[in-house]
Amino acid sequence: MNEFTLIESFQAGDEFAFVGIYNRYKGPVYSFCYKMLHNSDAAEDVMQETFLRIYENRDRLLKTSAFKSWLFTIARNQCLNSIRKSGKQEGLSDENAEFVVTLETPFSEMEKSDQVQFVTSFLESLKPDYREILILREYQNLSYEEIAAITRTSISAVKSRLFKARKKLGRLMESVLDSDDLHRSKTDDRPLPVEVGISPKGASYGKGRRLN
Amino acid sequence: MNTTPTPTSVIPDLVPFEEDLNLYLDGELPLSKQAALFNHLSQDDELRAQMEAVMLFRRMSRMEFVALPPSADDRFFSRLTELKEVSDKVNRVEDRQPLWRSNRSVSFRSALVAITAVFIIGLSLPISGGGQSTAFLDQEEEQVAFDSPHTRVLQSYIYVFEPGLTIEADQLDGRPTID
Repeated sequence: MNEFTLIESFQAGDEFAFVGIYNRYKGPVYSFCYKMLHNSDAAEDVMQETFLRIYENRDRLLKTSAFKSWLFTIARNQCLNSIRKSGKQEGLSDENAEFVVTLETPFSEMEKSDQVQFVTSFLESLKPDYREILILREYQNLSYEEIAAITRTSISAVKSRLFKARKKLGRLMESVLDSDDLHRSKTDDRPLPVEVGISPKGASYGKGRRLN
Repeated sequence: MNTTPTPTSVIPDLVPFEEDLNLYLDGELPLSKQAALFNHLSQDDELRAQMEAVMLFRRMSRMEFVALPPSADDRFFSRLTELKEVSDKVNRVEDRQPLWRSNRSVSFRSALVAITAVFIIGLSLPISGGGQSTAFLDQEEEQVAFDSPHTRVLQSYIYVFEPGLTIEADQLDGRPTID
């Protein structure tokens, strides 16, 4: 069944259509919540709450084409509420980002799954504002317009935040890329600099020091 | 450097070509501007490193699969069932109807509380006839003789009752004529 037909049937009260919508979107919504919250239990809870709200407020959706934005708006608001309640609102500030720890295994020699976990764990060190926009763009592959609708901002604000988030991400990941180059060239025996605030599997850390 | 920065940058705090790079990464940069960007990237190590970082992040994010626990569906559908049960009990359409038209069951406890409240309120009200009376109205009774020459008295009386006031008058067989 086509997506729009499914949504229209759901709005008309078709319970099976709702199950179809749930099956189609549960993965992306859970993934978004998991990336935002970094906690599987909390992500599952928020995902369920999102779909329950969708079920309850089906008559509030005016445009079928806006369903995806509406769904992610609810999920995003639930995630932000959860972050606010847990008090984990602050990301890694620029000042703290200057702290580094040592990485014993070079990035390119890590297991693939560890590499994935390592890189995606950088998200946790970003503020929720930047984190959500990166997730919506890079993981959910949403357009600027859709992200603007979800975050209730303008397209230019979305672009601005996305670019700043990428800049921060680039600054955080620069050290990983640098460390890899350093290991590859084997020109230096000093500990390799990697940003603090991440705890990937398979990577061990030394004591933090500040880069000059 | 022989590159010229693109003049379209509307976002502050971005170095020249940074916005173009981001637009390129999102597939939004027009073809006409791509050559200038690539030319600049070949000379700007910092911007190239930023692009590599974003590309690496994107590659890793596409490789990662976040799986929903299988038991999550069961938990969700049991929550949905609970929600349906609650919403079946609370019928919003019925809620908007007047109270006397709604057909709802009242618990024994609620009924008992309501009866007790009515009884207590009843006790606190003044007993009729014991306190204030309408006797003072009798003392103020006034009789008015309506002996206009333009009227004729008929057989019967008409009584008009008002709370605390009685008016007695002869019924006329028509409107009084005024010369």
